[in-house]
Amino acid sequence: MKQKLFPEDELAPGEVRAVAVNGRDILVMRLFDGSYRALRNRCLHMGARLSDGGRIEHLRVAGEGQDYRFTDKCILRCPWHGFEIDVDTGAFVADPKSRHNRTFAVELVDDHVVLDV
Amino acid sequence: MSERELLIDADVHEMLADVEEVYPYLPGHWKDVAAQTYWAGQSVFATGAHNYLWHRSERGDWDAKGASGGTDVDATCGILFDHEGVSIAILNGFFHPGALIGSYEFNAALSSAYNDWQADKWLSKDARFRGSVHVVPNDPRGAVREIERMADHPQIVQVFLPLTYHYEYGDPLYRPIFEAAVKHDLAVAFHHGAHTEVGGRYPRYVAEWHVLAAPCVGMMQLASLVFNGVLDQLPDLGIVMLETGAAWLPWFLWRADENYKEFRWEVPWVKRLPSEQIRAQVRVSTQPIGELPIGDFVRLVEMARCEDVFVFATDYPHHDGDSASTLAPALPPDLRRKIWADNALSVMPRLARSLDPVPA
Repeated sequence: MKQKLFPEDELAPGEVRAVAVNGRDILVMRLFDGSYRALRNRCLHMGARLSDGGRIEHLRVAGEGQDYRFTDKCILRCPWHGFEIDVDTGAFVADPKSRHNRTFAVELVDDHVVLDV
Repeated sequence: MSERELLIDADVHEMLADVEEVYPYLPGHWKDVAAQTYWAGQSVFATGAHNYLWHRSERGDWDAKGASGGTDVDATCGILFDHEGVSIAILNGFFHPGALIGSYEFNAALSSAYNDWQADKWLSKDARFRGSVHVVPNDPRGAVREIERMADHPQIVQVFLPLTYHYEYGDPLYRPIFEAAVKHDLAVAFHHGAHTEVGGRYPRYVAEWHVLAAPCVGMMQLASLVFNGVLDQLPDLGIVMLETGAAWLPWFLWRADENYKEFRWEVPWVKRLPSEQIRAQVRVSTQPIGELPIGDFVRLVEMARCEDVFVFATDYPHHDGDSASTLAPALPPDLRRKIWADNALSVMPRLARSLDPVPA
């Protein structure tokens, strides 16, 4: 079922918002490139509500030796223990073989954010 | 236990009857320093530690058979190979010049002398002995030279590093030692000693020290190797943690994984979960199994999914040493085969190569 949420520009890049759709608690995120993603609004580690302080960040990856660099890819950092969540798959970046959080498709229709629940 | 079952003892302590035994192996200048200066006669076995941290503390039944604190080669062969059923014994020494503070040049000379003494007095006497390269960690270039010097010896299977609170082995300073070990297919073994402090000091009582020193500093160094990326950057490196105990491992794996997920941003050069790195590259000795019931140990192994991690060790000749016969009855055959031999062989390529053909 598709649910129209709010105008595309209502969230700035890097902002997140909790929405309730059909009794589900869902986190809607606007990434730095302006695109949207959505996840179940609970961390699979210890159950933190991700909208209460969760942050969008650039993914860091290993560089040369003990160095690292930022990529364009975004992650969501859980507000409790800082686990990095892959916004595309719902997996923990550090442990992609573990359980994945539920993701939801988001599209933009007539300049509005539409969630597929 | 079948007579043909391969049993590798990862931790045997051969011992100098007197430190003067290494003097003939020292080059002239350092021989003079050892024999004729203020250094002469000082206790190098327990400097700075509790004055009753014995340098001879053999298990009573082994002592009765002539263990002599691990100073007697023939008695050691009789006890380990005949009585205890050990097939291969890896020597880790009890005199660890690499743990002495300062004077790295002299300590390096002592390490080289000890390595030559070990080869002469022990390795050459029985083909079932395997040896360690003792080095001074804070002289990494010298340590690499010593590894290169000893690496061709067919019975040398590992580099020995003293388990100490004072160094953090993940520091890039020490990386050349690990790289040299990998280059020569040598594992790196860690063992505590009288030098091993707990949190930068000695606890007031030996009882506290004996509970804490090896596992606490062992965990500290394991965390250092994991989070500084040593294991990730050297995937062929095998690490053997000796006498650090067993029961902390499940907690450590869970906690290290959890903190990796939490702080991966700080150490993005770490590419695998700590538990994956440890299961693949780190081995932990079963000794001291102590009062842990063997059935509980088996459950612990299952709980932590670390059936590939533990290696058998006697800690001969020390008073808290273990016998394979104590563990054997309660170990399922598959797990026993892993702990007896397979787990050690999988991270110690030189050991594996030296067993071709496997001795009966």
